[in-house]
This record gives sequence, structure tokens and C-alpha cells, in this order.
Amino acid sequence: MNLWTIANRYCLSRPLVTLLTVLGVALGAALISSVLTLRRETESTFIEQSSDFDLVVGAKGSPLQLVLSSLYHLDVPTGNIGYPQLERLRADSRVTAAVPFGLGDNLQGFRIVGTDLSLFDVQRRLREGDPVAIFHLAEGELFSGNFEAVLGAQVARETGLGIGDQFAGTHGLISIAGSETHDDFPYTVTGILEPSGTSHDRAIFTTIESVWGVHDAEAAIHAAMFGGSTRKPAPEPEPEAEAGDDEDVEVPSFLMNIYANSGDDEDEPESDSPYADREVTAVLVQLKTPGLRLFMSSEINTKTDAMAAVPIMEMQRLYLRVLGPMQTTLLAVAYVVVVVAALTILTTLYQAAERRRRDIAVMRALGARRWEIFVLVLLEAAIVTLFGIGIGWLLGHGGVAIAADAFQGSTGLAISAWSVDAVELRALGVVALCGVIAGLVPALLTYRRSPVRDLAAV
Amino acid sequence: MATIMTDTMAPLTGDWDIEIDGLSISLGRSGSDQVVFHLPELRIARGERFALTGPSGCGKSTLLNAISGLVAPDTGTLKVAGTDVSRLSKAQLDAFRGATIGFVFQSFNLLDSFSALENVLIGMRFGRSVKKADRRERARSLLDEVGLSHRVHAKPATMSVGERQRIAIARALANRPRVLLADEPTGSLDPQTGQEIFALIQEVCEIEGCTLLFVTHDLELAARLPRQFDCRGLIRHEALKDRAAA
Repeated sequence: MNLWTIANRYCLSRPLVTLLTVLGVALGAALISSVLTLRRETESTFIEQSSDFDLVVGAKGSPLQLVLSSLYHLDVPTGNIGYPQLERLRADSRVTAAVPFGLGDNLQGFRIVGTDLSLFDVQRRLREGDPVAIFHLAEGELFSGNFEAVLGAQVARETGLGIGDQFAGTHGLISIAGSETHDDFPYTVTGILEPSGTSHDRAIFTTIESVWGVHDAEAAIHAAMFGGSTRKPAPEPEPEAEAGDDEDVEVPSFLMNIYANSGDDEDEPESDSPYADREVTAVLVQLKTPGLRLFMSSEINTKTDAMAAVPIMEMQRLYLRVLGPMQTTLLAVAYVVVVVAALTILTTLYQAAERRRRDIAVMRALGARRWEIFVLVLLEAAIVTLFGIGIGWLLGHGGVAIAADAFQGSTGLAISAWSVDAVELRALGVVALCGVIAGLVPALLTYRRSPVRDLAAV
Repeated sequence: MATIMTDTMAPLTGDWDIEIDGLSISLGRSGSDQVVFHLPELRIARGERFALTGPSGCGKSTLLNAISGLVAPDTGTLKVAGTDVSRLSKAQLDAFRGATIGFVFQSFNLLDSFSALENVLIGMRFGRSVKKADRRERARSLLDEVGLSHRVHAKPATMSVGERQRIAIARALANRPRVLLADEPTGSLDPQTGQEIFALIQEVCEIEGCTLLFVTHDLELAARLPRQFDCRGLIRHEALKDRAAA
């Protein structure tokens, strides 16, 4: 019989009290583990993805909204900017990549993103080593013509669409029952991307001309039904639709042209600005060096009608101003729970030591050293605390694992629920320390007590 | 106040296990008096079986506590198994007690969360006189010796009072003590069980070769031991002013 076995047996001799005390510690540890893990993982995944592009250029408004809507497919866009802005950026020698994004439709809540093939050439810069590609095809091929689509991994998984399947987009950025479906403009799946653990897994990529085409047709139909002006697509002039006669609505020639040219870019006009009066929702920009971010964004913000946001700064600001304080508050609550749990340990062990005064006196009579009695009581605190921390860690990370699925479902961002870092280990060490400190009081009282009176009292 | 003691058939010489000279222990205050335990002299030879008698509160338990080192003497000499316990530090006293003294109490004082076997093993754990590898075998052997080989895994709460006292005896002998202190071990037992336990204690002391100090109110039982000591008069009430003057 060693001291650990004796302490363990004493804990088991009062199962309900021990269980409740362990659960108290576990609750605190679970809160600490889950908050720290969520903070670390969401921050790292958000920040990691925000580093893929140095700037996001879009309509003036909230920079955070622009970043969230274009990079994370979460918020609504701030508006549109002219296509020439994209061309100007592409012509800028400081820019290595400028990728257009056009939004407007969705499939079952997954956004259909109009872009071009330059998106798939963008590479992620790493702190060490060569850049790596962000997008990898799992099967099929990239789109080569209009109304061809490449699905993010989560889209393919949840919709069940495969190569060669067709689908129609629904108007709007989120799935709302009764929304207008563009059945006349079906997309054909040509490729499926590998899971990336980023929000791109929740996107459907197609040519930006496809997105324009669908909405030009919708605008034409709307104008034909209710009057008003329609957008004149470039480069072909659009025949005027007759108001109030939807049966006779003609598909705009521009759209016909897009369909006709599907999969064949050779006939595209060689003009420098074929889409001069077109608009894009945002342009994702990668610069030659991250050091140019602030200068370029300032330049765009002051000299053009567009707004440039630095994604990594916006995400860090979001964390510092909103999520950080929220998580700090949660962490403070968690530590309060730990302190309460520690007080429970103190009370429980004190009461247990009082109840076991006779046992302890007998042990002393049998030759137990005072330090052994001290260690025995302390071990009981350690057992309760360690079990509490263990169960709490499992509960906390298990909770994060469940939350991670929901989080990935809504954002596409993958969270590693079972990872541990030094900060979490230190925090759990603090919990352990609280438990041991709580055990010190009854241990010291027991250490100092003379066994004579307790032996005589029985 | 005169000390009244009866010490029958004290050996004149021998290998003493307990030697007491001018032992004085302050037990606290009672009103304006200081309560003092005082024993001028007592010698108990090795292997002797010795009865301590006297009414409650006469100092029997204080004497046992002093011999076991649980209370420290204020003055005088107290040697147990040749060691002057008054000179030992607290840690040394704990170690000495575990290795040299065995306790049997009136109310058994078993650890209820542990089985009979574990109670004996815990005694060995703290006594440290028996090698780790031999402890389990010795514990089983002792329980067999006291007639409990069939109940080694039973918890004390499920056992009769006689069985509980048998566990206590096995535990007291676990560390092969030189001195066994039995503090009214038959006091909570019916007469027949009391007789059995009394006989068992004498028997195991004979087998293990330890000195026995047997506290009892039962003068008939005490008379069956070779030597008796009446503790009446060991506790004194001294006026504080007298002590100060002295």
C-alpha cells in the first residue's frame, strides 16, 4: 500500500462528493481548453487564409465586410467596382496577381463565384520555403468556357454533384426558400477541388462572364416585365426588350455570344477593355512583397473610387476588437470556475480530513510521519484535480471537435480540435496549481494536528 | 498529594524494555490548577506481560502515549527498548514508534475504507520494519494467526467486534514490535469474546516475543498477568502559584 493507493481509496470512499468536485474542476478546465483552442485555431485559420492575398479591392464601405464577403464568403459585398479597376491593377508592376470576383448567385447556400483562371495560379507564401499552390484539383479539370464550374470540396460533398453534372444557380448569396432559380442557365461541373480547409471549399468557381450573363438576362427579363432600364452588356449591344411581354423576351445577344463561345476563348476580342462598363464585386490582389500593402491600399483609397482592404489587418483587428475581448471574458469566466472548483476542493478535503481525524491519528500511531500525512491529503487534492483536468480536457476538446464541424460547415475553415499548445498547457498547469494550493490548507491543518486527542476521542 | 502505586513482583534486574525515572508530563490547566502526570519510577523487563489498572482518567492512556512517543515528557527519563525517547526529534519519534510499538485500542481504530488485509499492510507501510516483498505474506500469516484467514478481504464494517479486534491485533504485530500497548482491548467486547481476545493477545505476544502493557479495568483479567501496576495517583493537580514558587 503506497500513499497514492491510500489517497485514491479515500477519494473513492466518498464517490459522490469526489465526482462532484472532479466535475467542478473539469468544467473549469473544459472551458479553458475550449476557449484557448477555439481562439488559437480560429485565429490561425482565419489569419492563414487572410495572408493569401495582400489586398482586397472593392466598393467603398466597410473594409472588414469587403474581406469577409470576398475572401471568406461570409458577409454581403459592399457593392461593385468597375472592371477597369481590375485592368489597372493588372497593369501595375507591383502586382503579381489580380483576380476578379463576381458574386450574385448561390447553389444551396454555396456562393457561385465568377472569376478567371488566374485564381488557380495564385500561390500561398510560406514563412519558410517556396510558395505552394492554394488550389489543387481532386478530379476533372478547370473551367475552360462559360457556364462550366469547378466545385469546392465541401460543395461537391454536400450537393453530391460530380463531373459532368449540371446545376442551376439561385439568385442571391444565401439560400432562401422561393428564391428565383436560373433554370435557363445551367452550369456543368468540370472539376472538383481537393479539400483545403479554407472557405474556398464552400465556393463554386466559374467564369465571370457566366455570372454577368445570367444577371444581364435577369435584368433584361425584369426590365421587360416591369419596365426600366437594363444594363447594356459589353461588347455587344443588347436589343431592347418589350416591357410587359415576358413571353417574347429575347435573350440578350451578349449572353448568346457567351454561350456560343463557351469553351472557346479564341474568338474573344483583342480589345484592351472589352468589359469597360462591366463591374466586378471585388479584386483579390497579391503584391510582389507584403511590404507594399499599406502603401498600395492608401493609394487606392485616396486616388480611386474603390476601397482597398488589407485582409490580414482586418482579421487581426476583428480579433483584437471583437473576438479577442469576448474570448478573454470567457477565459476570465473559466478561471473563476477554476477558483470556485479549487475552493470546493479545499472545503471537501477539509471536511474529509475532519471526518478522518481518527484514521489520521491511527496512522500516526502506526508510525506515519507527519510529512506522509501532509502528502496523503495533498495527493487527494492532486487526484481530484488531475482527473478533473483530464476529463475537462476531453470535454473541452470534444466540444471544440463538435463545434469545429459546425464551424467548417458554415465557413469552410478547418479547425484542429485536438491540438495543444504551450499556452493551453500553461493554463492547465495553473488549474493544477490551484488544486494543489487548495489541498495545502487541509494538508497543513492535518500536518499540525496532534494525534493524541483524536485517538482519545474515539 | 502522595502517589499511590502498586507494582507487584517487580524484577530486581533485567533487560529492560521500559525504564522510567522521574517522568513528568504537563497535561494542561484545570481552573487555577496545573494538571500533571508524574511517575517516579517504572521498569518493565523485556518480554514481560504487564497489566495497567486504575479508574478512568488516572493516567493509564497518558503513560501509553508517553511510552509510544505521542506525548513528550517535560522532565525525567523515559527509555523504551533502550532508546531515550525524550531525546528523539518528532520525525525520529514517528519512525521509532512505527518500528518498536504496536497499538491495540478499545474501539479497534481500524481504517474502515480498507479491508482486513489492507489494514495490516498499511500498518507495515508506516512501520517500515518489514521488507516490501515480504509484507503481503506476513500480513496473511498474521491474519491466519488471529483466525481471520477466511476474511482477509472483508471490510471492518462487515465484521463482528471480535473479528475487528483480531484485525487490530494482527495490525499491531505487523512490524514485529518490541512493545505491544493494548489500551483496554476487551473493553468493548462481551465477556466471552473478551476472554478470547485476552488469550489471543497473550498467545501472539508469546509467539512474537514482545513486551505487553495491557490496560484494563477488569482486575480479574489483570490478575492473570504476571505483574500489575495500579495507576491511581499518577495525575496530580498542582496549584499554579505553588509551581511558580517551586
